[in-house]
Amino acid sequence: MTKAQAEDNLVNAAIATPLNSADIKDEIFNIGPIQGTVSGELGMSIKKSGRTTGFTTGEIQQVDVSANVQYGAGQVAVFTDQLLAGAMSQGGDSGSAVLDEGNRLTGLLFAGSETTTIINRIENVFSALGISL
Amino acid sequence: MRIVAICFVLLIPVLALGDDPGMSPSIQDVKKQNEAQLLKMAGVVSVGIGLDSKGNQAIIVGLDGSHPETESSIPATLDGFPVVVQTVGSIRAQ
Repeated sequence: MTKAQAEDNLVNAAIATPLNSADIKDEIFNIGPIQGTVSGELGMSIKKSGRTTGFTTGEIQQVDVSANVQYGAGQVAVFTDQLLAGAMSQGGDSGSAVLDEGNRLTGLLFAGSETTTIINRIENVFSALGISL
Repeated sequence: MRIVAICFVLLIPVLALGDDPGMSPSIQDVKKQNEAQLLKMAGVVSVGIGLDSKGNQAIIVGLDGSHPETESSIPATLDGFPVVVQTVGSIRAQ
């Protein structure tokens, strides 16, 4: 099996535009409106509302994480400057906003294992996409 | 003999710098210096900064399963910072 090795990555992110803006609310199901942003730190309590596992909570257990993330068979991409939490997601939850207890946006969920969740820092997402709240 | 003497003179400032606690590397520096090598070891899927069981800042190495050879070759400390090895499983895009 050959491994395709990408360059180091900071984010796995994209912008989507709704076909009809009336289909979208500017608040998160089970969470409510976003109250600004906050930089993720060790020990921070976090939550997300995702398509597969719904509303779940966790804690930032590691920062400055470099991780080898699998994309299908044999495809591995290295991500740096990630946040790592305990198990709080499964396949299909990618793209969930990750917030602190005060509903401040801190990250974008995109990967995980049976025991961990890997989260892009929201400041890196905003910088990569040229967007802000 | 003269060459040896000159070498000593040149070494003194370097050694003095190394002993200065203000110059010791941060855990971020130590992690950065070692992570490429750690991530190449069999089964290593993540390297980050967290806390050990005593609550001290530590370099946390994640494995995708049981890898006794890798576990035995990872040092207990790097530049004085504790290294904790955890089995986290395969990390996949979700």
